[in-house]
Amino acid sequence: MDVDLIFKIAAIGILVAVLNQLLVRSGREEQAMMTTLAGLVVVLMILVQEISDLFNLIKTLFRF
Amino acid sequence: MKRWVFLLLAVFLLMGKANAAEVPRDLMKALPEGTEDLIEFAYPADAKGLAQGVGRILEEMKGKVGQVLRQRTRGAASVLLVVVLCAAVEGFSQGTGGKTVLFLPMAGALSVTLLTAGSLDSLMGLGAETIGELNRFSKALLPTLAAATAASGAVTTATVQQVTTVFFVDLLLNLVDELLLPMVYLYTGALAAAACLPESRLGAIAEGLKKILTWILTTALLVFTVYLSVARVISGAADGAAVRVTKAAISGVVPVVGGIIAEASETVLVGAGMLKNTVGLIGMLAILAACAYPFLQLGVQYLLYKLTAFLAAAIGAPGLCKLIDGLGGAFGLVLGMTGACALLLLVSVLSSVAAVVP
Amino acid sequence: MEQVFQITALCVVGALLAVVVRRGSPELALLLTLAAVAAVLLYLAGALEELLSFLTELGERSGVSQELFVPLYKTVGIALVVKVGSTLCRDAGESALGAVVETAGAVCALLVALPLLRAVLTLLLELME
Repeated sequence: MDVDLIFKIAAIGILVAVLNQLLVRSGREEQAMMTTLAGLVVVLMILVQEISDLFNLIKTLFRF
Repeated sequence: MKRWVFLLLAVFLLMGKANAAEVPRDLMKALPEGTEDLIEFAYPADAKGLAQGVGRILEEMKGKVGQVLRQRTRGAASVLLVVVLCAAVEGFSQGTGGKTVLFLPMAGALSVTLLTAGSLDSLMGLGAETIGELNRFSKALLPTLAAATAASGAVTTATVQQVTTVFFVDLLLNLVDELLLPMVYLYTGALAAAACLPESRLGAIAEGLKKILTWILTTALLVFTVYLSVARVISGAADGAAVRVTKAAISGVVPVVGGIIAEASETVLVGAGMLKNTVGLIGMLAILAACAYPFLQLGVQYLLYKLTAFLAAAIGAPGLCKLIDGLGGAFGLVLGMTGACALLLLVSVLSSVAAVVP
Repeated sequence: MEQVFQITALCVVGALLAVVVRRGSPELALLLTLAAVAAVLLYLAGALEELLSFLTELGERSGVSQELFVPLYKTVGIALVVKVGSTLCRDAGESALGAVVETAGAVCALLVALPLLRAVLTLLLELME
């Protein structure tokens, strides 16, 4: 889980960054913005599960 | 332990001959619990009888030492565990949170006090109960002694002495019961509060309370001793060396009020030389026997808590260390109070008997 | 012991990647950091569990009621979460949000410690009787 996730997100990040640059250079700024947003959403969806696991863990660990 | 033996041996050294006499029925009934079987040593009423009785008391105590130690050590060990726990939580929180948890001193102080309060209640109850028993016993003993004194011819002296000593004994015992014992609780509360809020000046309040308590107790004893020496209730020679040694022993052994008890004990030792009848002997033995067990418990608890405070300081929890030290002091205070009452009674027994000088 | 090495390696790699991604898209860099933090914490779960169970065992052995020490553990947990959260906010340039997170942490810690304070009060009142 751990390291793969990081690399996955990093890969998505680099991909989005590259696409961003391409679109901005070729003048399609709105589409650049939309790609960024799309990348954000995808990553967030991946992360949500992890974060929720984390909070559950802290809850049980510290006896909330 | 050795010091106590030495003290009692010194008492034995100063003994003289004593007469046998009948023991009234009421006196037997008013004896403190567990001391009835010591009475057989009072016949014949001479030095050997006292020494035997004292030896018997010591033997019983020796038997109980192991059990008391084990019991009290368990309590002290749990206190130490709490100290370790607090140190661990502090380290943990410093690692994760970055600063110390705000309420750690509070939780630590609270748990230590709760752990101690159980034994404080039982031990203070023990002390209060002993003092109450001594009070009841003295109410029966002193009139009997006065009667015996009057029967041998010194009527006026007997009445005057008896009245004054009974008055004083009653006064002190009431003082202890009504004022001093609740103050010990107050002192414990102040200690706990001071430990909860380490930055505040509550520690000074706790210290002040302890000083007031010690002062009241010492003054009461002092007044009584001064009265006795002024009224020449007890006169006679005493072996200087033995007296000095026992005085040193007592001030070393008894915490808090050791000094003043040592002074008063000189009077006791002088008077013990005049113990001349069975009733006085019984009284003395009974008082010693009634006090032996509470002394043992309180003394062991006091020592254990001082030791635990030392260990806590080594682990590195200064606030809790002060709390544990203060709690040990509270036990010492109760011990001093019980000791003072017992001494007072012993002195009054001897003063009532003292008039019987052939 | 190896846990420390692995975690340090993971964090450094994560930081590096974040720097790379930041140039192209700062938002994703933040999310990347968040992912790394979550991963590390989940990894530490085992060790944390062991520590806390030791502490609870100490507490039980000494005979103290657990209610006294549970607020402490909770406060430590709150402090941990708050620290990470506020630094993340500040990393994103929102120091106001970071400050608010810290405030929330302090308030919640006080809330959690209320039973403890109440117990202290009861004890003192009892002793004063």
